Amino acid sequence: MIRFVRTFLHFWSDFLIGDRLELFIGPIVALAGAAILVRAGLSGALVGAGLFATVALVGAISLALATR
Amino acid sequence: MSSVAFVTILSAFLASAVEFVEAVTIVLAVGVTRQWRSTLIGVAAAVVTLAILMAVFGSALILFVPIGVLRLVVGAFLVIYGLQWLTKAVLRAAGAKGKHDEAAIFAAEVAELTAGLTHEPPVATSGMDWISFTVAFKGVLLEGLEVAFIVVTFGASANLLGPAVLGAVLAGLLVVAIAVVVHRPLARVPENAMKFVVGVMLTGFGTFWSGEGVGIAWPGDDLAILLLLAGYLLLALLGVWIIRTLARRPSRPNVPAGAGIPPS
Repeated sequence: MIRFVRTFLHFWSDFLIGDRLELFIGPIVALAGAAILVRAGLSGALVGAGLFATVALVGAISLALATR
Repeated sequence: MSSVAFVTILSAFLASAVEFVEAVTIVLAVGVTRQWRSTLIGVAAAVVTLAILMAVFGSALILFVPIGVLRLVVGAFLVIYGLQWLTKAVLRAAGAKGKHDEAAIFAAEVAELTAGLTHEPPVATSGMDWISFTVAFKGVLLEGLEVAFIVVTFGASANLLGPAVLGAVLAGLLVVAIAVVVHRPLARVPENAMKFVVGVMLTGFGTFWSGEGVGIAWPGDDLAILLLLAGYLLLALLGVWIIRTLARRPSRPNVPAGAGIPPS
């Protein structure tokens, strides 16, 4: 049973996180920031542009780390 | 047909085609080296399992989860998954990571299975060969789960599960038909280019839906998707150009392409 749970968790962590933790955490942090800014009353265009820029930045950081 | 429905079919088709090519490579390797009957039973068992999973989870997602929550959670997963595909595709396109080579994977699978034959009893000509069954079942199920994940989440978020499933089915039929005709691994499929396009699509749609999920009112509504897709595509191409340019700089030591970064 423990082996099954361990294999199950390993599969999903490999599936969603893989070998790049920043690609898992980055978008979640970006979305949390976007949610806070929307609640604060910022315009959709501004928050949307910020979300796009942050996701792109996460990708750029991951590429920089991979090619170090 | 709306542009979103078309893009949903295209995304599901491309993403599924990539995974189907990988699954077909495993199935061919097992069938050629061991026993076709047990291999095909393994494939059928995996397909039935996947169909049940898709029907249950697809329906449950659409019927029981509010669309706002669905778009936030699924959108976030699509961004994460899309970025993983896109960054790998950028690295491969820039020559910083070894390209996915189905012919090499096929040769490695055959070598591994052939080596196994020397340690185990010979394959039975009739009856079940459980190694063929297990390897084929596992290969098709794991690759198929990735397809199911993309198709169900993508289709459910856009409320277009039918078109998403259609795209995946068309890809499956096409890849299997080609494999039956050529009877060897599909080495000429432009897998990296397809992963590049799918990575852009998943990231773009994921950003849009997760943004809607946290309350962003995108200017221009669905038109914002096109802007996001164009933006990610341009930045990804820019990334390829920057990595290639930096790799060519004379001050850096001459590192062979793909060194240090294992292909996956």
